[in-house]
Amino acid sequence: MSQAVEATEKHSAMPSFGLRRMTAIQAELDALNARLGEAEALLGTDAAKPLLSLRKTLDSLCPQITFVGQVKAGKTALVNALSGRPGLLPSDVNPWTSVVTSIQVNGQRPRNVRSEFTFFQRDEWEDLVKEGGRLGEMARRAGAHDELAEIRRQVNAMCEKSRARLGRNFELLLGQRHKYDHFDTALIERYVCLGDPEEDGADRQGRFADITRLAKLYIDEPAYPLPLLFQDTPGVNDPFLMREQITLKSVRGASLCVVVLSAAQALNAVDLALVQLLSSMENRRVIIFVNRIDELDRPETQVAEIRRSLTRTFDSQSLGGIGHIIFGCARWAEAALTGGLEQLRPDSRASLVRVVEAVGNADTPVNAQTAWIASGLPALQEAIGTIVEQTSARRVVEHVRRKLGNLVMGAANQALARCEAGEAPRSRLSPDELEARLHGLRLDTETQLAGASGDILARFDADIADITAAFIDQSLLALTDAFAQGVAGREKLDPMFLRTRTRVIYARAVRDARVMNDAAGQSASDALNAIYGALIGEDAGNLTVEPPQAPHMPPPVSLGRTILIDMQTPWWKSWLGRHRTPEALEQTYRPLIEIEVKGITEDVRACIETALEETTAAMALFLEEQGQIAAAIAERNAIQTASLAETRRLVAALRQLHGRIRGESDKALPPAGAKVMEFRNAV
Amino acid sequence: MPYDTDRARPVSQFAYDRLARQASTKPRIAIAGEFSAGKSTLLNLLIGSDLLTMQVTATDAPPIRLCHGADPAQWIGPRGHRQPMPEGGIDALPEHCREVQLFYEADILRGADIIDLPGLADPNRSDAGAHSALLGAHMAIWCTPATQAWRQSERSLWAALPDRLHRTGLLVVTRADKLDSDHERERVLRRLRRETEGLFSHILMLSATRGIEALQTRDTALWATSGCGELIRQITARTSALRKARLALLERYKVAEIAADPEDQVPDPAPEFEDEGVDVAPAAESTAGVGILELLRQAREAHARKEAEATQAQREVAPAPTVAETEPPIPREVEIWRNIAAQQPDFPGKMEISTMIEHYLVAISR
Repeated sequence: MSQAVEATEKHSAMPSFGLRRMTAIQAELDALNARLGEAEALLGTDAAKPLLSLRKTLDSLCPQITFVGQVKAGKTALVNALSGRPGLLPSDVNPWTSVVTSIQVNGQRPRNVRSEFTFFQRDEWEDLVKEGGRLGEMARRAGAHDELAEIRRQVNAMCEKSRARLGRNFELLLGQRHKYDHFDTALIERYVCLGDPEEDGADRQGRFADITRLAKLYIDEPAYPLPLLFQDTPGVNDPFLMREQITLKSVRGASLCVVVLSAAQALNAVDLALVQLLSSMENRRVIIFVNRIDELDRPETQVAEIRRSLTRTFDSQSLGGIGHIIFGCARWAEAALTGGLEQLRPDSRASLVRVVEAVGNADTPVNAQTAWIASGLPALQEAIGTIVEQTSARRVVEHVRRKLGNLVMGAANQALARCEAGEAPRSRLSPDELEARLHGLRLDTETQLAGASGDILARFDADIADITAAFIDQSLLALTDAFAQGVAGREKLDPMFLRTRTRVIYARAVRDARVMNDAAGQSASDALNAIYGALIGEDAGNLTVEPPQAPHMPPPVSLGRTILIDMQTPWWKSWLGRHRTPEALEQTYRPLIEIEVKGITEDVRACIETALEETTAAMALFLEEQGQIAAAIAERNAIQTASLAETRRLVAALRQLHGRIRGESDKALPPAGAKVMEFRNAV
Repeated sequence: MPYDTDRARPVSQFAYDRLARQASTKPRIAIAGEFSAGKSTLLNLLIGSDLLTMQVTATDAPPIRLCHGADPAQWIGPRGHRQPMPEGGIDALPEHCREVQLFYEADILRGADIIDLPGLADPNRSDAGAHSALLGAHMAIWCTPATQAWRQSERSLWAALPDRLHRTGLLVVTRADKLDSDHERERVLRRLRRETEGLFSHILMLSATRGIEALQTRDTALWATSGCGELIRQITARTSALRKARLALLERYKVAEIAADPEDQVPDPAPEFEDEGVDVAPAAESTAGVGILELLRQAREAHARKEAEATQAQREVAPAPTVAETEPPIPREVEIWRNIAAQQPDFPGKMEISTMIEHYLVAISR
């Protein structure tokens, strides 16, 4: 634990056979970058700014992969192995990670910064200290005095510890950020580790841990073709209640989540709740990694047994959409990277041999390569690559492609118009006529979007009202039932009902918003293409503008928020104990649950509203940009005859480039036509 | 509520019979924990047989009570009636089965019934059955795996149990061999002591696989470090203390000339007699004709005999410091050990059992 890690510059020998999907993504990005280069060469300084911003968008792609799981599931070891840096983040036999810790592999980083530690903001800290955060708030609302006292006790202990470590003025550190041009184990431990209060040197470990909110390290790992951000989180289900609150917040920005389970007890009720929370956000972005299979006695047969049981449970909980369940062992991966298979504990090594034999045959050597395969890391990398390709990478690529295509097309049309004006001026749309038509188009689009947005929100409101009422009634019924039987009714009170139904409604709103965007975009681009035709003539025919993509609408984080009724039995015990009649219970319970539910539904509605506003704004920007291009064409500044031939060549080159950009795009995306039809039928 | 332990309590013959019956019932030890926490392995070690199969995924079995004897297995329905096991075994049991009883001639079962609870926190079933069985136990052993020990879900379940279970509760940290060093084990123990303050009477690290290995190789040092000896000592100490306490409580009840109205229950029964769970003690029926005074006499005699044995043993061997007052006679543990050895068909040291005992006595007296 205390040995210094000089991993920053050491290149580990990470085998690359799990990285094919990521390489494919990078190839696509490279191709698009090459098109950007060609466009730069053809367009010169005119288009430098928009092209630069497109290039930045491409370069900033850095998918975030967040690892969540119960305490001691082995998240930290897995993140270390995946980063190719065994031992980089410290781990221990006791819960050790207290801070969301990110490792950025490759990609852009601030100058001379290798590590960055952000402290809590003053108000966040005060909320935590005074109210006990969200847990404290819920405990107080429910009148759960024991829990509230426990939270208070933990918070006070934490404050005293920080004060003892940092002096009385430790609060001055709040809101600040410490940056270093290096990192080593001692430095990291100071910021992210809990430390052991009874161990020597504990004053150095975890010196800042309680007030640190985020830690970020930057490493270079040439094996990865893409920049990636791995995020390690404090374990959930920790008797120290405060840490759990931090973890769920970090999930929102993630491209995907890896739920780490421990093979010895794969998927208990807490794990399942975690998977449900994440899936209520988006289940195709969830990977299950069953770690520590080296602790199984017969891994080669038990793995299949566990997989069957997981699949059965997921199916019965309607979580069948989780496609990636991977088994492995971070310890083997670490050993494979350091080449020290003989350092493995004897029983861990024995089960590695069993797995390798079962995967290969009796002659398969047990070496770094086969240990790497058995560790499940290549499979995990492939799964990450597959999901990234379908989600964040596709989004960025498609965005850049559309913008670039439109840019090139506009330039080609402008050049064409100038050629015509110099060669054989013809009577076309005048600037005034153009402005009138553009104005009409803007108005039409705006009206169309406003109408559709209103419909979507109205539909959402109606649906959510039904669900809220049904949920409250159902909960009350379960509660009075439980009251009658004298048992805590936790089994029957199911907040997942609320979550899944709200998610379905949200998903429908997302789909409607996309269809609305595509339909409005389609009619706008049809109108624009007609305008270009009127400006340039037949020649414009095979160049068409493309509408912007629908905005990305990640599921609202409140869908995954712990709510009062997720709490464990003791909460209910104290609840039920304090009410003499079901009527009294209902009287206290109803307003409580209404507040809880309202908090969630309002947040979800706000998300939809924002997305709809973004759609409208993006469409307005698109019309604005196209309007400027069209206006430039309508000006018809004639060019010198000398450069006429050159401009003709430019037009040809731009059209060819546009064709290639569009060609690649058509390959990548299914046509939007079907959805537009669906929307039109619906309206 | 403070409980008055001094005053003699006059009760009716009916109530007295009932109390006496309850006082002489064998204590029930529940083995609880989340699924795959090593409960079945621990139980197999205790009774010295692979009676229960171990599974890595959650199992769908009712609570299983192990009793001493050689009777055929039976299951208990929701109203307490007993029925023979169906042909298909545990898998063929109907859903309303509340408990399965297996009879087995293991020495540890002479002192107490042991109940193997279904694993808690299983996503596919409710914890209710295990929970109510746990409430019906006189003492509980909570198993938590060393590599993921004592999480909030365990804590909140255990903390919600009544204090009487906390006072005698034993936290067994299973699979201790999965931790790399004594240092690591010590650190986990330290954290557990901090986080379970007031919730258990004792915490111990156990490696059942090492214990079984020790039996097979006759390695007394390994047996001692595996934690198995300590576990058995702790259990026997607690069961004998429990029985002693109950008989002491019973002594304060006197049969008086009170109308023998079945409705006239004991006004203020001792908390130790509370029976919230299943009570289908075989003793209730088999002693029906004997008469309660005779039963009581037997119980007292047995108690006195035990006391004498214990004092005798204490004189012979220095008691271990941890459980000074209620230290059970040492030979009892050896008996169990021998019993375990006898269950292993190819146990290599069967012939030299006396040598083993010597080794063992030397080891623990150090």
